[in-house]
Amino acid sequence: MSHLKVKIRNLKKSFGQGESKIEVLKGINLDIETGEILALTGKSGSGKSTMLSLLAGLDSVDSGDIVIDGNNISQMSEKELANFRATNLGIVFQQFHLISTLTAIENILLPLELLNIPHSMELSKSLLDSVGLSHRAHHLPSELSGGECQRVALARALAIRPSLLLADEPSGNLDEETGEKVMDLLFKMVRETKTTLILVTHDPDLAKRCSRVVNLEYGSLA
Amino acid sequence: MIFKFFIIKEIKKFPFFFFLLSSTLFLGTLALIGISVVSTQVQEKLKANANQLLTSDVAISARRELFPQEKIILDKIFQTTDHRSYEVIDIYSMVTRTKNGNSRLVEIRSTEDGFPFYGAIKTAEGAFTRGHLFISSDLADLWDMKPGEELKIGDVVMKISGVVVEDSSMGLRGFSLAPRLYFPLDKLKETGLIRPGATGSFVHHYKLQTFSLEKIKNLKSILSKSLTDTAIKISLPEDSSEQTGRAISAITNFMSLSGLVGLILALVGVFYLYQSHLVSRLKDLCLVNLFGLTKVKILLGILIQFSFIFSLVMILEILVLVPIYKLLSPKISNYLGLLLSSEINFSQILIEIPLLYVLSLTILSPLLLGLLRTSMGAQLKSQKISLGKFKAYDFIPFLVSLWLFSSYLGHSFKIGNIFFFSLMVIFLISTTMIKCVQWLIRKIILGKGLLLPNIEAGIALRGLVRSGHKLTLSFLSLVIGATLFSLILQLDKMIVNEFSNNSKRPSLFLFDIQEEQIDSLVELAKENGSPLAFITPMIRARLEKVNDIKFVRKKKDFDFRANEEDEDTRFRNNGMNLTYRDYLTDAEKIIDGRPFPPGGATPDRLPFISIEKRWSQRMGVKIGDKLTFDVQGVEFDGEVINIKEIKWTSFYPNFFVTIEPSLIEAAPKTFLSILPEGPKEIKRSLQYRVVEKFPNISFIDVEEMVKKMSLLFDKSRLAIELISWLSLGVGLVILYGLSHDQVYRRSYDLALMKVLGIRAGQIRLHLIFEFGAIFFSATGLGLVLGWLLAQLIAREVFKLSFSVDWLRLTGTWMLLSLLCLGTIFLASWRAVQTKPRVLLSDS
Amino acid sequence: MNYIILFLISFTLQVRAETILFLGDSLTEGYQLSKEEAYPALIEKILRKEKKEIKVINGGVSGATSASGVKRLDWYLRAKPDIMVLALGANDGLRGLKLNETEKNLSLVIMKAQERGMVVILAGMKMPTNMGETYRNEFEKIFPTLSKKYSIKLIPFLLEGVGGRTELNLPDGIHPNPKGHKKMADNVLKVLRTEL
Repeated sequence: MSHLKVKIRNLKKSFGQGESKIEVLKGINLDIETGEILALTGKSGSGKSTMLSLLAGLDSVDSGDIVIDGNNISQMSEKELANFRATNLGIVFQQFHLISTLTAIENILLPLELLNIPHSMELSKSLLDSVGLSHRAHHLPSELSGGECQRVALARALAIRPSLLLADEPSGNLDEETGEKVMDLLFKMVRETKTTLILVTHDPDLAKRCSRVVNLEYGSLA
Repeated sequence: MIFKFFIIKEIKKFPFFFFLLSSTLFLGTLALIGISVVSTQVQEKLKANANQLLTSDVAISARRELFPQEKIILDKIFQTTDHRSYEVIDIYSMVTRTKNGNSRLVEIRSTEDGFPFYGAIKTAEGAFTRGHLFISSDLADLWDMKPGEELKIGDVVMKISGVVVEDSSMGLRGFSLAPRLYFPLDKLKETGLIRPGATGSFVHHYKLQTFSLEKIKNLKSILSKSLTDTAIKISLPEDSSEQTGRAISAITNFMSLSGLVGLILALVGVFYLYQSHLVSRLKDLCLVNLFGLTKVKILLGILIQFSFIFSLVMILEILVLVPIYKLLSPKISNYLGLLLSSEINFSQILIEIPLLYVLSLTILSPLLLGLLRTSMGAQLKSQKISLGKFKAYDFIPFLVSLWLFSSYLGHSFKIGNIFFFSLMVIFLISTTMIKCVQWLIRKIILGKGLLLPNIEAGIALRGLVRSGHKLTLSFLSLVIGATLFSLILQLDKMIVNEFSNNSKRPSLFLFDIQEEQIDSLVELAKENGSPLAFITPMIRARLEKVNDIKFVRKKKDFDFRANEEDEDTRFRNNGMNLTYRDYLTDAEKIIDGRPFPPGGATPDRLPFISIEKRWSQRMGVKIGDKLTFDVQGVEFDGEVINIKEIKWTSFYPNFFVTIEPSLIEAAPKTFLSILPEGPKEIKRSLQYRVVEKFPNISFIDVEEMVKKMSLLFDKSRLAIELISWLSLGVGLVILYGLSHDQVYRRSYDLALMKVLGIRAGQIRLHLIFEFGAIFFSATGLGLVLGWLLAQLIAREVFKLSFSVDWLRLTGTWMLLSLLCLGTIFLASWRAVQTKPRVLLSDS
Repeated sequence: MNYIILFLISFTLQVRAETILFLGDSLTEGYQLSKEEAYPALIEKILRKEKKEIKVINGGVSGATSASGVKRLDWYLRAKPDIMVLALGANDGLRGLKLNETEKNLSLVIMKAQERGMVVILAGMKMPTNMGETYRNEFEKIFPTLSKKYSIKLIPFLLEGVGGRTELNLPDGIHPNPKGHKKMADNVLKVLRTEL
C-alpha cells in the first residue's frame, strides 16, 4: 500500500530583494512515495540545498505547498514547524553536526527525550549498537572520527522513526573509504526501517544507488 | 611581506575579534594607568606634605635645651654635609595685653630665619617676616586684637605685626590648650622665659642642600647612636605621626592594586580570546606553514600582530588620558586636599607601558608555546584540528611578572606578596571548587537521560562539565572580580562603621567642670545661644585587680594609635578615667552581653561595668570578670556585663570603662562637656563668659582637627566607591566578551538544537542555566572570599572586629548575578537567533 | 545604701594607725608610674620601716586643679585622715588660671581640713620660667601666704632638687620618674616628720 509521503506543488523560493533578487526555485512539482529513496542531484547553485532546507522546514517557502504525510508544512508557524520536525523528520548533515557537549549516546537520546518517548535509553543503546558504536557510547564528538560522528548522526536521525529522512551530502566530508562505509550503513538502515529518504548529492555513483534520481537545474526539475 | 599578512589582512578579516581584543586591553590598562598617574602625584604630594609638617628634612627635639656637649655633637655630625638649619622653640606662657592688662595662656612658637624650610606661613598682611610678632587667627578672634596692638611677652613688649591665617606645619594637630603666637627666636632670651627650669619643646631642624633619602636615613642612625639620652627624639618627615598621609598612601596603594586586578581580568580575557582565535585560525596557519613559513616566523608574526594592537591601544589611551586628566585633576585635587598638577608625569607612564607589555606577552606565551608544539603537518591530514597543549609551567613567566608588578605597584615586596598570595589562594579555591562541583555533576548525570528534570537543565549540566578550560577561565575571572568588589564593599562598610558622620561635631571641649557648676554652666551656655551637647563625669582610678588577682599589664601590649612613649613606663601605669552613665551615646553600640538594667546598682549584686572592645582585648578582660578599681584610695568592685564598640571618630569624649549609676557617683569627679559646631562669635562669647564665671574651666579647640579628619574619611570612602564601580564595570565588560565568544562558538550547536525541535526560548533558558550556574557560584564564592579578605585586613591592619552584613552580601550577590545574566542575555541574543540553515552544506 | 554603710564600716575599721592623706595632682598620683613608685607610697614604706603605724592615702588625680579640692577632701573624710598634705595648684598654673581663684580654692580646702581637726601641711609649688616672671612670682607667693594665714607648715618646694634635672624626670621633662619621686619623698618627709 503506497501513498504519497511527500507532495510538492509549485514550490517557489527567491533570495534577495529588488534588483538583486534571485529565483532559486522556480516552481517545483514533485511526488515522493513512502519508502522511496530519492536522490536529488544538481550542480552547486542549482537549488538543491534550498529545496532540502524547505523540506526540512528550516526555511519558509515563498509560494507553493509542501505536504508531508498529509501535513502542509508551508502553512505552518515556526512553532508548529519545530514541533513537526521534532516528531517527523530526521536530518543528516554533511558536517555531521552533533551537540558538542553531549556524548554519542546522549546525542541519540536527545530527540527521543524531547518527545518523551518511553524506554529512550534502551532504544538509544540499540541504535548505537546498530551503527556499530556501542564501545564509543560515552565519548564526546571531539573524541570521535568523522565517520564515527556521521554514524552517530545517522542513529540520531533515525531514532524517532521519522516519516522522512533528509540527508545533505552525508559523505561529503569523509574520505572515500569511510564515506562508502557510512553510505552502506545508511542505505541498509533505511531499507530495513522502510524510511523515506531524500538524499542530496552531487555524486552520480551515489545517486545510482537510490531508487529514483531527480535532477535540479537552475531551479527547475529537469 | 608576511608580516603585512599578519597585520593588515588578518585585522581586515576578523574585525570583531580585534575590536574585542583591543577594548579588553584598553579597559584593563586604562584603570591601571589612570590610577597610577594619580597615585604617583599623590605620593609626591604626600612626601612634600610630610616635609611641610616637619618643616625640615630631619628634626632633633627634646623637652629641654640641648646641653652644650650635645650641641657640639650635632655640629660635628652635620659638618660634613652641606646644610641649613634653624631652631624652633615652643613654650606655654602667660602674655599680657598692655591695653587693658588682661593676661592669658598662649603657646609661643619662636622661629628663626628660614622657617619653615618646607611649606609656608601665610599671614593676612602678606609675608611672614622674621623679627616680628605674629598672632594666630584664634588669638586674634579670642581677644579681638588687631595688628599694631602691644603684647607683653615675658620682659619684652612688642607690637603685633600681623595675623597668621595658615600654617602648613600645623597639620592635624588640633589639641592645643592655648592659641598660638609667633615670636622671633633671637628675642626669646630677652623675654627671660627660657631660663633654666623652663619646659617646652626645643627642636633643631636641618635641611640638606642636596637631598637623598639614603643620606637622611644614615644621618638618623648616626644621630640616634650619638645622642643617647632618651629625652632626645630624632624625627624624619615620615615619622610625623600624621594619620592623613598614611591613610591616603594606603588608599592609593589599594587603588593601584585594584587597577591591577582589572588588568588581570583583562589579561584573562586576552588569553581566552587569543586562544579561541588561534584555534579557528589554526588550519590556515598550518597551510601557511606548509607553504614554507617556519613556525618561528609564524610566532613572530603573531607577536608582531599583538604588539601592533598593543601599541595602538597605548597610543589611544594616552590620547584619551591626557585631556581627561586635565579635566579631572582639579576635582581630584579638591577631593584629596592635595594640589595635584594637571600635567601628567609621563615618566611614570613610560615606565609602566613596557611593564604592561611584558606582562601581556607572558600571558600569551603559553599559547605560543602550544603553537610551537603543534605538529602542523599532521593537523592538515586529520579532520580534527587542535592546538598543541600548554603545560602548567608555561605560566611561570606570567606569575613571576605578576608578582614583580604587584610589588612595584604596592611599593613593597610585602604588599606584592600578600596580593600575589591572595590571588593564588583564590585560584586554588576556585579550581578546587570547580573540580568538586564537576565531580558532583558527573555523578548526577552518569548513565542518566537528558531530562534532569527538563532538557534545558540536562544540557546545561553537561555543558558545565564538558566545556573544558573556557569554563574555568570564566569562573576564575568572575571570582577574582567578585572578590575585589566584595572586598571593597566590606572595607567601605567598615570605614563607615568606624568613622561616624556625626551631625553634632564638636568644636570645643570643656573640662574640669565642677559638679556644683553644671547647672549654671548649662544655663549660661543656653543663654549664650550655644547649648552644650554632652556632659559626662570623669573619675580618676587605677585598675587594681581582675577577679581578685592583682593586675599587671603585659609589657608586650602596645596601642598602635598611641604616641611613642617610654615602653617601660607604659606597662607600669594602669591609671585611667572612668565615667558613669545609664545610657549609650550615639557613638556607642553594645556588641556582646546585655545593657545596664534600669534603676542603677542594687545592693544584692556588684555594680555593673561596660567596657570598650579594644580595651578589653588589650587588658585581657571579658564579660563576667570582677574588676577592682582603686578610686582615689577607695576600692571599688564591679562586674563586667557588656562589651561595647565605640566610634572614636564621633570625636566625643569616650571612655573605655563605664559604670552604671552606683556608689561610684560619690567619688570625686570633674565633668567634661562639648560645644557643637556653630558660629565663631558665639563660640568666642561662650569662652569669655565661662572663663569669667567659672575660672577653673578650660577649653580645647578641636574645630579644625575635627573638620579635617571628617573630610578625610569622606574622601576615602568616595575614592573606594569609585574604584569598586570601576572594577565592576571592567569585570562586566570582560565577562560580556567571554560569554559572547563562548556562545558564538556554539552557534552550530544552537542551530542544531533548533533543527531538532528545541525552541529558541528553551535554548536561551539552557544557556541561562549553564552560565547562570557559573555566575551564581562564582560571584557567591567571590563575595565570600572578598568578605574573608576584608575581615583579615580589618583585623590585622585596622584592629577592627569581624562583622557580617548578611543583607548586604546577599543583596550584592543577587545584583551581581543579575548583571552577569544580563551580559549572557545580551551576548547570546544573536547567537540564539542563528538560522538553522547555516548547518547545511552550502553555507 | 546598705552597701555604702558596709563599705564605710570596713574602711574605718581598717584605720587604726595614723592616716596621712596626700591630696594632689599627677605629681602625687605618680603619673605613668605604679602606685608603689609614687612618693606617698614611698613615704609609707619608709615610715613603716621605722616601726611607725602609718596608713597613707594617695589622693592624687592627674590633671586636678585646686577647684576640685574641697569635693575630694569630702570623699576622703570618711577615712578620717589625721594629716593632710595638700599638693594642689600646679595645674592651675600650667593652665594659666586666675591665681586669686587658686588661692581661694586652696583656702577652702585648708579650712575644711582644719575644721575636722586635721593637721595640714602645704606643699609649695613653682612654675617653670617660661610662664613669665609676673605670673611665676604671683603663683609662688600663694603658698607662703596661705601657710602664714592658716598657721600650717610649708614644704617650700615639692620639686626641690627634682625640677629641671633630666635624670630625675620622665622624657616629657615635667613629671618625675621613680628616682625623682624618691627625692620628693625626702622633701616631704623633712616637714612631715615634725608633725608625726
